[in-house]
Amino acid sequence: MTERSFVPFLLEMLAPFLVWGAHFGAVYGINGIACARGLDAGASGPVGIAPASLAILGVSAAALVAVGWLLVRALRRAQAGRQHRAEGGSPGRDAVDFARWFAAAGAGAALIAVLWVTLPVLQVPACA
Amino acid sequence: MTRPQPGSPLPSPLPRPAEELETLRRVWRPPGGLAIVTAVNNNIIGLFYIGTALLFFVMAGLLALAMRAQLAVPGNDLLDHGTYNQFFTVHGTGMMFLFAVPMVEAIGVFLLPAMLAARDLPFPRLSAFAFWAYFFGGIAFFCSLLFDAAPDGGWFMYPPLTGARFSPGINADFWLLGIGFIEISAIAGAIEIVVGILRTRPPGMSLDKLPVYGWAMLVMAGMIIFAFPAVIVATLLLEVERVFAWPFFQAELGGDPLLWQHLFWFFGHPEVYIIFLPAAGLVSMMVPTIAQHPLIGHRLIVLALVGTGFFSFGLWVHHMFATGIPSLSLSFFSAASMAVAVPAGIQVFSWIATLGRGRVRMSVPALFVLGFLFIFVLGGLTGVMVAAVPFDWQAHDSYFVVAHLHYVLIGGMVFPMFAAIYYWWPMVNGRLLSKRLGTAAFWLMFGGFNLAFFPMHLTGLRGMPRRVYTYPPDLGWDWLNLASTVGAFVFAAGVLAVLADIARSVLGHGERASPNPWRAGTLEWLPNEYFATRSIPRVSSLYPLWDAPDLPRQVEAGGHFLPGAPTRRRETIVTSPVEARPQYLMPMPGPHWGPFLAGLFTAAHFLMLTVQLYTLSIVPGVLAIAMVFWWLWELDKGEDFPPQDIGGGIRVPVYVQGPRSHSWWAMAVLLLVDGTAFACLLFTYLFLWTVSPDVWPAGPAALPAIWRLAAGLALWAAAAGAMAWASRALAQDRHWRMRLGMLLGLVLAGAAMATDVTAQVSTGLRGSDSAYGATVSMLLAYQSFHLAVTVLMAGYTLARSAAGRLAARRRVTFDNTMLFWQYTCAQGTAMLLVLHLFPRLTG
Repeated sequence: MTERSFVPFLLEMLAPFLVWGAHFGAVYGINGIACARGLDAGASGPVGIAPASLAILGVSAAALVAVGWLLVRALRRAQAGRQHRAEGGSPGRDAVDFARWFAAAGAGAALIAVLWVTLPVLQVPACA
Repeated sequence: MTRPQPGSPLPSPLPRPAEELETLRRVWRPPGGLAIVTAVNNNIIGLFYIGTALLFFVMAGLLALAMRAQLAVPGNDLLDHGTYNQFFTVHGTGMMFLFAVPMVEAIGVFLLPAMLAARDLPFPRLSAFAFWAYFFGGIAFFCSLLFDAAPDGGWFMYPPLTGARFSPGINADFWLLGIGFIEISAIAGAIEIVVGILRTRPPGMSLDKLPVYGWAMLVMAGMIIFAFPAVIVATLLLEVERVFAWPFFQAELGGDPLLWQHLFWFFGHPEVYIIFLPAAGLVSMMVPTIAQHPLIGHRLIVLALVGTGFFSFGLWVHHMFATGIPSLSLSFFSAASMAVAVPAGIQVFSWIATLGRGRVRMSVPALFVLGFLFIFVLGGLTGVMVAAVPFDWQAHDSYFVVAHLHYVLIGGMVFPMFAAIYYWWPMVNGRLLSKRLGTAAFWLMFGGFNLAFFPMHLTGLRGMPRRVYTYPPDLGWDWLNLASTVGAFVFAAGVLAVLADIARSVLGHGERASPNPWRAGTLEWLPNEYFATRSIPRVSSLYPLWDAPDLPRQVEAGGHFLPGAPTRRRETIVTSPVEARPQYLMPMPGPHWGPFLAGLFTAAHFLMLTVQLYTLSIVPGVLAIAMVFWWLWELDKGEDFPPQDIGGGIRVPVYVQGPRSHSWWAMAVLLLVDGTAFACLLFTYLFLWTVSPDVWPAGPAALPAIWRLAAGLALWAAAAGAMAWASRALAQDRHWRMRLGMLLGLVLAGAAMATDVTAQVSTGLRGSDSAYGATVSMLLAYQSFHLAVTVLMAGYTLARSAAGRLAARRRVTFDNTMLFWQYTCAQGTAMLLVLHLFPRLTG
């Protein structure tokens, strides 16, 4: 049996959290620069969606797609693992099963976290 | 490597030859007398570390008592305001940097090898060096109080208060240089822990069977790797501003004090979890034993630990809610601050469910764990309160925040630590600490803590600001402060009771413990000596001692892996990181004067820098480097033994090189630290450009000519290529070609650096002119530092080559140098692209 390579294994487990981190850094960065440079003009309505906030929503949508894809992928792999085990499977796959469960659960958590962090864009003025 | 033979009940047949155990004991025997300072074994260094951290806890605690005495009544004059400023600064700094982080690492150094049934952590001399640097540096830091030279700007040292203008003298430098270099110890410890957990687990302990404490320490070490570079960069910038007047934080020259807050809290908030997660890991190890039931939700707890590690990097601005940051940005951090309560809640519910499902046996560790749950939950709830921006604006910088942070830190770390001391003390000297004294200590600490800190919520809500050295009467704060003071002394009495209990046990009193006194299920309770377990067990579950009751006897008899010392020197099994399959036998270094002296000289170097003896500081600096080379020289032995039988029909080599080597892993982790520090410098550049674009060059005319960029890029690429050429030459054992390649590469790298510096100088740039000049100069200085380190490493590698200690099949030293070298070239390239292209794109 070949030894499992660590870096891809780790990346599979952590990918949802990495997407969350990239999303968080991006939305804060966009908002910070937009406010420092006065790019929040063009807001309209009682709260107003500034162009920078629209950009944040776009980044958030991309992050949600990415995390959603990771979630579906992890669930499919976990399902395949369960099927493999039910059919007798090969021994020594505990770590793989664990990683797949972890990736799926992490993707679920990251999905909620991205939504939760994005929510204020719809409620709070960008640079007040 | 051959595979295990089927049908063998134990990896090593019993009985074992009698001389096997004698050899094991002989090679692992610790040095005696004065030479104990040369010890490197984790059992000794771990105890030194824990003892020193406890000492600093007591010293910082005494400062707290003095402050509480001062605040007991209004208008008190026990301490003047200057002394009070020094006391609260050294108290906070000491507790965070000299007690909490070192303590969690120290417990890891002591416990992890036993929990993983490894003979030691993979870099024992690095651990020893980290400890001694911390020990001497910490003592010097506390001694600054005796000379009225202690820092007085608060533990987070905000500029401009701590800049040269408002804090002349060396008080602030004691913090910046003293703490800055002690953090290097923390990073060394983190590297040790990451490689130890991932590469020295026992055969069969795949990642899914790693104890929760291992996960907690892994996450903690990962957080140190990505968080600590930020504070190191911040301290570097402030110190450079103080010494050379490079205005990173001076608004009138394009700097911004908020830059410090961003960098400091990017470290500072994860720091809270760096302290808490290991403590939570300890609780997750004790709770199943206390309840005699496996931890409910093991996988969810691991997910919660990792999730907390990530989310904690999205919280730093919640320390800056009152700084005028845009409201939407605040909302992002407010949301993340509330979200982080979810993984903490998962752990709390899991512990409660485990205790509920099991049969709880009340003991001193159980009391402290229950106390932890009560206090930490309260601290967490007030944490959610201050995560709400409007509430935070009301409570900001008031005693409410003091109450909150002590509920989190003392509840979340100190109570688990005392639980751990009572729980794992039998591993120190085979005795149980006193149940009677421990119970009394718990109630004194629990009662005293709540009496001291609960009223502070009210004092804060009634408007008392933190860090005031006295207050007028009749503001409604008098009785609350008096209660807090009484509580603080009651808490201290509890700590004193624990110390008395420890002293009593060290002097030989107390009940002798059975080998597994709490009936725990994890490996640290196997029969243990300095070399950890007699043989390294094959693991197949999360609670091996519960699932295989005969395991202790088998292990002690030598029936599992590596029952002796086949090469007659210290060694342990290195396993694969995911599935924990044996890969090779790692030789481990023994006692040496190098780590002790290197720690001493490193501390002396930084102390001399602090007191502005700049020229003289070169002497201990050079000596420290020499000591490191001294201890390294005898390592990297090459394949000096044939592959060895470690049991189970498995033969493994005694030397590997390349990406499978533990040394390669350590260098890779170090480069992650380094890359993060560089990223922090790039953040500095971009942040200051965001706030002060007017001090950036207006267009290409004010920038170096573009051909200088091309020349710099070509030279860094050529330097990297020369090293790659040298690497290929070494692979063919063509030593002169390898040396030529390295020397040529050094010349090219030197030329690249000179080109980069002259390019900027050609525009008339000076570090003290503006924030732009300061940032560009700092990036160049940082790259020059890397070049200097590369030169040192290359010189050492060439010396080994000249001494015949380098070959195609003995090249770990070369590989380490190559990794750092190539990183330096890549960093130089990235720096050049930013410095030349960014202003052109935005100008």
